[in-house]
Amino acid sequence: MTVLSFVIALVGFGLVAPIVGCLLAGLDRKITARLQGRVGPPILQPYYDVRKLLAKDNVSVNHFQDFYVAMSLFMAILAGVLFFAGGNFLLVVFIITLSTLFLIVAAYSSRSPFAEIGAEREIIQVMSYEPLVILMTIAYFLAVRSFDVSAVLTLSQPIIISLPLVFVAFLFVLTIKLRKSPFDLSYSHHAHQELVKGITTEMSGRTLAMVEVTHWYENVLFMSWVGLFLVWGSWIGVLVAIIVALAIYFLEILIDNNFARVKWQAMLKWSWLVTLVFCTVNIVVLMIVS
Amino acid sequence: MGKKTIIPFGPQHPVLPEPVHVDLVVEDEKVIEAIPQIGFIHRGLEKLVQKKDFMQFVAVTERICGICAFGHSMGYSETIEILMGLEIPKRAQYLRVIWHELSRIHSHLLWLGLLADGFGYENLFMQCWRLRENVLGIFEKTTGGRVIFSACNVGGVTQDIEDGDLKGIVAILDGMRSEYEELLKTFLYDSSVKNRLSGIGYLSKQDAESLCLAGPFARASGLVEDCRLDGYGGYGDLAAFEPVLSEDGDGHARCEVRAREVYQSMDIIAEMVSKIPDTPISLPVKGMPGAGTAAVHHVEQPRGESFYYAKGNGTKFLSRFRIRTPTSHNIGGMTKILQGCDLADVALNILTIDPCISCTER
Amino acid sequence: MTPQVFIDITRLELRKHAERYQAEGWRFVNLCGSLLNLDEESDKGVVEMLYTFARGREMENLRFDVQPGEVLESISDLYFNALVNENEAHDLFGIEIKGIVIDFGGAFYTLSVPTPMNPQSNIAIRAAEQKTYGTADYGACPVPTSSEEEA
Repeated sequence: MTVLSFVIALVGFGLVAPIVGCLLAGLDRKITARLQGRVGPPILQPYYDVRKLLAKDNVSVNHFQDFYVAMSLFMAILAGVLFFAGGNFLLVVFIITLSTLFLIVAAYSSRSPFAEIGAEREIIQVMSYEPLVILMTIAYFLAVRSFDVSAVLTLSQPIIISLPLVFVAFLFVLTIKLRKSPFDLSYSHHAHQELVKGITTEMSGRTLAMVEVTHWYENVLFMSWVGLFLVWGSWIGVLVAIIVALAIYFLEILIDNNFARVKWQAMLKWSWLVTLVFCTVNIVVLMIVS
Repeated sequence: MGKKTIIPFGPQHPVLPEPVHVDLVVEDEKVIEAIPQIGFIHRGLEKLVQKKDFMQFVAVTERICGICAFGHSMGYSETIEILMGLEIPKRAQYLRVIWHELSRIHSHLLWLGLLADGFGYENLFMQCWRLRENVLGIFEKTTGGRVIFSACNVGGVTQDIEDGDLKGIVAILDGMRSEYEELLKTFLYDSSVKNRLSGIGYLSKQDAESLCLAGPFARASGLVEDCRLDGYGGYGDLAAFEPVLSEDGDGHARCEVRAREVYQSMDIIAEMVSKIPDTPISLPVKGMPGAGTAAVHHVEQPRGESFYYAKGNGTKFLSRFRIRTPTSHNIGGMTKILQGCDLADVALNILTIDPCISCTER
Repeated sequence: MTPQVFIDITRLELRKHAERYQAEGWRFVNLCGSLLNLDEESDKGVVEMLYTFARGREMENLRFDVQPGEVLESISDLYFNALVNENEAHDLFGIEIKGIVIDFGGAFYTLSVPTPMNPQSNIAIRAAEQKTYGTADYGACPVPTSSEEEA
């Protein structure tokens, strides 16, 4: 990763990712509505929502949470930039986790019972998917022999060939990271849950707009991780990666519309079970073969 | 020992259909104590009986609740008919049963949708309500109104349904059956739904009996409590009637009882349509309730047994009209099942009693 | 048809009857008050209470009068859900009931005026009703001019 690649990634990811994220979110709402037999909002609705939120007055009594949410957004952008600049994958994983932790601290700082319980659930969600993400990074190193994301462009075949089970486990956990049913415990786009709105209950105006934009950046980053499994040394790989990522996103929308929400005990149990079984088997096989 | 938080649940809450306030004392996502409070929607409707005469008061009883609207107007009319000793024509009785059973279908479909929303399955919620639109369309075609439709008054019903329209109603309900079957399978057998509903809010048969519960809430614990067994009005001419029961007593059982009652209502409507006689639809009411007379009556509403008490005093204003709705008694059951449950289940427990607080508070 | 059985008892016999009903497995259906004519002696009105119990297809109603100032015994320890109706009777009619399992102390319904169904217990309401309707008597409402009212 050179200074030039970092600057290009900064400008590219920083400006293009929110547009892509906004369109992805809009498509999500439109397709969900059609699956439910409704017409649905226009595809640019997330952009209109953020524009409206930015224009609102800030009436929160707690100003600390603005700082935490801003740090969360900054970390999400930094993680994405590092990823697309070809930087260290382990560093990217930790920085994006740091972004979520800042959001949790922001929820705790608001001292409302709904936000506190939402923050507790978010912590449990992080505990559910962190083991997989770390094992996935280790599996990546074993397959590519380097922690750098840019190393995947020197391969002769995509890493999904050597890490199929890790890919499947990652798809399972992607539902948690994208905050979709059955794992939308702490915050989802539907307000009809036990905790009013979960971690963002006490946020409004510019703060909530920053949370929304953070989610756009995060969604693009996670779909890029899906694409990471399918890229290799030629440009066909990039095309395949984009198509597969979009297909997986559509699959996530389908799953969202076909499951009720589970309680945190079930989420923790299932994600750890899947992680343990699939990743261990794949990594052991990989270590034996190579 | 974790820290105790007090979470104010309601009256404004996205998952609650009605304004009820519950103060939850929570320790690490487990509810230790729940103290309910109602009173947000008390409109003093029982006092209006002294300002509106007994023929006008039907309109007030309809507006007690949007979901049980026809049930209350039917209960009121039947109580006044008992008070004054009127025997209304057969066709009016059958039409009342048809509209009441349609109310039951639409109320249960509404509730199924809210329950799906309560455990986070928005898609199922939208499908249930889309199916319910068929029933509301029937109401609009036959009476002109979708929710409050002023079809019942003392002495009979206000409008007739032609025989051709009656067959049309049965055809629409038959058309709904296949789609409803799909929804029923999801509610009863889907693993993520069962994961949320099974085992929550368990009440044994003895508990249900000592708490004097009413409606599907009681029938899900095995109690045989159904006013339609009285056989008053059109219900007396049914070939056979058995209340839908379940022995399990948890949230899943209550869902099952209500879901199967929809099928039972469709069958009752089909039977009524096939047997309906050709008589006038209403009796002209002369005179007023006599002095010193009193009457009691009860009706099986979608939520349970609704009890009515009327007292006349020789003038055109009733001296007293009392409505006791099923949710007033089910609130006691709700308090019992909220103790010791998970925070994620609070909304579901409140929803499984099918609360209708606007009926409770009038 | 619903059985129309009305049994007249006295206020003190209520508890005995409720215990008998519970022992025999009857369920509690309803309790309500209704205002009788104004008691000429005092400002408060006499309230007639109705308690309804049912078992299977039978239903029995107990009736008795409560004079102003008399206290009733609660049956909410026998029948838990009677507490909703007892709190309501207290808020709407001003009836004193002692021993309710969860006693809201008058805060069950948030009313803008106290005891609206028994306004004889509140002089300010009586004065307002007198001004609006010309009468504050709730047992004898204005009689219609024609004796045969077509519905």
